Amino acid sequence: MDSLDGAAMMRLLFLSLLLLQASCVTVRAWQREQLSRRCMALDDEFGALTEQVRGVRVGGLRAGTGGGGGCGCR
Amino acid sequence: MLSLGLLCSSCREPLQSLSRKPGEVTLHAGYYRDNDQVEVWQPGVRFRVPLHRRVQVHGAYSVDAISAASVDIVASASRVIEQRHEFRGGVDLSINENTTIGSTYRGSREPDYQSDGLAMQVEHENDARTRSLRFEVRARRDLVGPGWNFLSAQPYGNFAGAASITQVLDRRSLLRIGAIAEAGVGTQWSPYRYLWMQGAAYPERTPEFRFRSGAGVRYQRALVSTLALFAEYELQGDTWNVWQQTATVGLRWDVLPWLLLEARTLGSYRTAAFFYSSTYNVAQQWRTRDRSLVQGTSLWPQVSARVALPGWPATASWEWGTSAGMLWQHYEDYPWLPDRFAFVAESWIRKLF
Repeated sequence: MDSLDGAAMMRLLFLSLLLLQASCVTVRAWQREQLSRRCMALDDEFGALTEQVRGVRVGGLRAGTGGGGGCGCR
Repeated sequence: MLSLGLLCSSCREPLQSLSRKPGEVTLHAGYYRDNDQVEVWQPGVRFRVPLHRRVQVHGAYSVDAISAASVDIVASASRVIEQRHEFRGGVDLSINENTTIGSTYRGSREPDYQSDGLAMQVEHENDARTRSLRFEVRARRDLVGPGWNFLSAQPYGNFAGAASITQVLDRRSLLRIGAIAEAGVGTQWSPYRYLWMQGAAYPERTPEFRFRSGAGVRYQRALVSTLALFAEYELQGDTWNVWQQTATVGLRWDVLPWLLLEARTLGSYRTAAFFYSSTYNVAQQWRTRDRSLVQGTSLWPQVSARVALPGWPATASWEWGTSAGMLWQHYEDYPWLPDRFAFVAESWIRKLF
C-alpha cells in the first residue's frame, strides 16, 4: 500500500474520465424505460443507521466520515 | 397518445435530480449490536415536502439510544448508557429545468460531543439528460468532550469539497465517478482513551491536522430488464498515512412490480496510521488506540427488501422496507479485540405523496 500515493489516485481518476468520455452516447426518450426502473436507481436506499455504521466503523468517501471518531463514535 | 407516451417516458428520468424526488414522510427504526458490548437503538423520522414546483424542504430527526462497555472507552466492564440526538433540515431549489441548488444543516448532540455543520450543493444535467454533474462543499464545527482527558470541550473543524459526474453509457448502464478532498483541524482524539507508555498511563493524542482525499467509481448495468448489477470502488488516503480501498458489489432485482430485493457485499482494506503501535516502549508525542487507525479488513454482506403498497397495478402510496447485515472486521496488531462482529438491521415505512 505504500506505493499507492496521490499520483496513483489521480491516474485512477484520469483513466475513469477517459472511459467516461469514450463511452458517451445519446439515449433517446423511448430508450429510457430500462434506466428508470427501480433496480437501476443510483441512490442507495439504506437507512440512517447503516450510513452511520458505514461512516464510523468502516470509513469511506461519504459525508462525515473524516475526523477522529466524531458523532456517535461509540 | 404516442407523444404523450414519449413525454411520460422522458419524465421518468434515470438521472433523478433533487427537484424530481417525490414528497415523502418516513418513520424508521435501526438496531446495532456487536461483540464489543455496544448496542444501539435508533428510531427516527424524516420528510421531504414539495412547497412549489421548484422548491422542496426536507428534514430529519433521530435518536441513538446507546448502551456501551467498549474496550475503546473503558478499562472496566462498567456500562455507559446515553442518548445522541441528530437533526437535519434543508431546502432544494430548482433554478431552471437543468440545475438544482440546495443547502442542508446538520446538528448532533450527545453529552460529550456536539456538532453543527452546513452543506451546499449544485447539481446540473445536460440538455440530453445523459450526464449529471454535482458539486458539494461542507463545513462543520464540533466540540469534543469534556471527558476524562480534558475537563472542557475542545474544538474540531472539518471542511470538505466533493464533485461527481454521472453518465448514461447506454440504455442499460450508468457510470458515476466522484472525488473528495477534506481537511480536519483540532481535537481528533477521544476524551476517554488511555494507553500505557513506559509503565504509566497517558491520554491518547494525535496530530491536530489531517488532510484526506479520495476518488471512487461506480458502474451499474441491467443484466435483464428486472435485474441490475452494480459495482463500486473507492480509494482514499490521508496525511496520517491511512490508505483505504473499498469495493462493493450488489444485485437489485425487481421480483414483482411491487417487490424489490437487493443483496450486496462490501469489502475493505485499510493501512495503519504512521503513529499507531500496539505497544509504546518509548515516549511518543502521538499515540493512539483508535481502531479506525489500525490496519484491518472489513466484510459486510447485506440484504434488503422493499414492498410497494398497495400492490401493482395501483399507484404505490406507501412503501415498507427492511434490511439486515452482518459486519465483520479484523484488526491487525490490536490485542484488545482483534475481531468485531456486528449485526445491523433497519426497517422503515414511507408515505409517498
